[in-house]
Amino acid sequence: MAVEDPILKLADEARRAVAPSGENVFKRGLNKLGNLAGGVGRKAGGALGGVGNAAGGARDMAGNMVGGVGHGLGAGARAVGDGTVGVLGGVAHLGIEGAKLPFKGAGKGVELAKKLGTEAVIGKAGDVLKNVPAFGKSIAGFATGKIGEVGAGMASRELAKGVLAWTATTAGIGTGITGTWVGGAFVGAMGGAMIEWGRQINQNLKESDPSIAGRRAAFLLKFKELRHAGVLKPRDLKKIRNAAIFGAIAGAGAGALVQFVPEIAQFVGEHSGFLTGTGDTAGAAAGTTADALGGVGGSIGNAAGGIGEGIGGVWSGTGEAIGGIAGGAGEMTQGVRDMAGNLPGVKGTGDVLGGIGNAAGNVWSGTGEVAGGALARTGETIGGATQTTGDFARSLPMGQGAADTLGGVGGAIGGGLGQAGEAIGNAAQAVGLGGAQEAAQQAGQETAQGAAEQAAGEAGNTGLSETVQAAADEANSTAALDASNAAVGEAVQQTGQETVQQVGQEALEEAGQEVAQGTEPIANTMVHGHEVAGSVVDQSLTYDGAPWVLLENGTKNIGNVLEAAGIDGALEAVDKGVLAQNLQQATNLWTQGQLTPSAYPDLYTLFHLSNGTASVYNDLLNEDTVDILKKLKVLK
Amino acid sequence: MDPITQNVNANIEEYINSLAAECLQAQGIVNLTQEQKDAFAASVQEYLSQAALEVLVNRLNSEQLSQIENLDPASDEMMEKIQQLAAQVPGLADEMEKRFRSDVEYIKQNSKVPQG
Repeated sequence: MAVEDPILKLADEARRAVAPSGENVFKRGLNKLGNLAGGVGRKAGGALGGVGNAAGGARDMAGNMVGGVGHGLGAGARAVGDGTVGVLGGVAHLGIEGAKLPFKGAGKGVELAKKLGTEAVIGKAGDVLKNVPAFGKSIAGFATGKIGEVGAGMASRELAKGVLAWTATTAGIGTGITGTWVGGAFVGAMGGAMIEWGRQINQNLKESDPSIAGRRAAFLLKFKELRHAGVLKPRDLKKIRNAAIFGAIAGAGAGALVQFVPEIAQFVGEHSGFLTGTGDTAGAAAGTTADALGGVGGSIGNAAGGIGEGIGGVWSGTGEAIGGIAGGAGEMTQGVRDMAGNLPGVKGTGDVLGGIGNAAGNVWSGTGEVAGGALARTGETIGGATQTTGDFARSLPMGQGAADTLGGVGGAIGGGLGQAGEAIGNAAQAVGLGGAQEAAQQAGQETAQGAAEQAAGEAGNTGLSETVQAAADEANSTAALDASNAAVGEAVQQTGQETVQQVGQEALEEAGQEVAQGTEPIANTMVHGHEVAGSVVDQSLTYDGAPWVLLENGTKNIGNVLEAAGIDGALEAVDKGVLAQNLQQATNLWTQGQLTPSAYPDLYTLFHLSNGTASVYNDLLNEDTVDILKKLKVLK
Repeated sequence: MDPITQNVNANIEEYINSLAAECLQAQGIVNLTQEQKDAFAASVQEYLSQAALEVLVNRLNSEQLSQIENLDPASDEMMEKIQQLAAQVPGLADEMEKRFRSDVEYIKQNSKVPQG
């Protein structure tokens, strides 16, 4: 279409941005528009959040609440892309321009709406007039409900003020939302309707009817007499009282719409630049997050000496907290959606308000879901990655290696949060690595194996080796481990160390620890609080006094490996004597804290294959393990 | 009853209770027995309920009043209409509160509920 009017030009650009095919979304019907708005809701989050902030600035209390949501949504918008923010800023600007129109004359809004093909909106807008009280009740009911939910417990004056503030903000948001999607046409019609309604009720107020005084007195007297006679109970009177006060508050809310719509529109119009500044807001939020993650990275590094569950616990808690925040945001947006959803409940306005209500509801719902989902995922990623890395760190041979791995936490976090911004991840990684290196120095020559076993012992695990192996297994099975390994490699290269295994071996040599090679039975030995004794060979091995059937389990599990590798005659191929000797040696090494994957990779695998849980098999059911078994001559 | 209405009603109850509690601090009331105080608080609450209705009715025009004149006072329809009409009266919340404050001050000063 020919575009001369700058507003229409903006509308056209915005429409094409939303529907690149050139399809006129405005003609697809309001329900369709609602669906579309819901779909684009994720992208609209930043702009709507900006509107929320702008409106919030107008009214302190509600503004703060909505502003908080706006900040969260702004961050979400950043993840989606700055370009989208710019487009939506333009769309919102169009809405603001449209919203200004009714206050210059509702007819202009109607004219604009017709140009944009929203005759359906205008055709039904007149019905709003007939149902404004109910509409006002709905708005104010929502407002008072929300205020009640935040625990204000206010006296009526404060409550009324709260209603005014909240409703004013709601009106501001509504202006932004509806203005955005229908180019101000709806706001134009609604604003005109609300002003007209205000004029009418003020006219009612001025009505002078001398005869009515007697009717009023008679009506009130009837209540008193019925109450005096006991027909009306105190609870009945309370109901009536509550209805009157409720309605009065609702009226105050609706009145606030009339009072503040022009003011809000003016305010938003004057601050329309804020919308395009949403990216800046999101950027600031991202910067804050990066700072926080940087600090966290340092904390992780410093905590490397501790290695383990404490870190995981902290991060799990953080994940839950973030999830909780997301839930709160979701509830708030759901509340807004409920408000919008109430609009079409008024008979006769369904076509108008239903479509807009759906649109607004879907936008907010979609935004809430995105924000909530992103935050929850972030929390889960952080919690999961850190927990996994912490567990993995415990299974590594050296504190240095563990520290480096924790340095890789920065990388893991960076990867997880990469969806929320590459810069965040880089910052976290950089700080995390720095902290890790520092922590590595603190960790000294203490072996991670010892630390892991100590942690397991403190946790009261009865299956120590299972705990360690399970941690390694879990770590192996996650992308976080990949990221951590990559970070480990990088960190090691930075420090001039070729491999973690070398570090571990060197450290072992420095510590003067000799490698035990014996297969003699184990005398009563305390391994981190657990008593181990006996021999694998004669199957007298015990753990805390209970039989430890390492040989039996090993035979069975090797059978599983062979079966998985497609080798027939599985069990017959196992040389139990050799297996027992190898397991005896591995167990002896384990009791001495020397059975590490770097020093004894084959025995390490055999030991954990024989002692492992079902989850261990998943990574060992392959031909690599068969090769190890052949190498150890366990297989004939 | 929907959650919003429940919530608002709870706030209203709390507000009215706070006014009654304020009245119990009146010089002539504070030393009454608990039983007497409970009875006095109940009378204050009932009076304020009537006051709320009175403020509303005195602001209704002829057409509005006709909508409720012949309804059963204890019916749900009456409640609904009262609520709807109250929403149509500009400034009613403010006026109600002024009335409540005025009544509470009277009760505190005179240690008695006004005769209605």
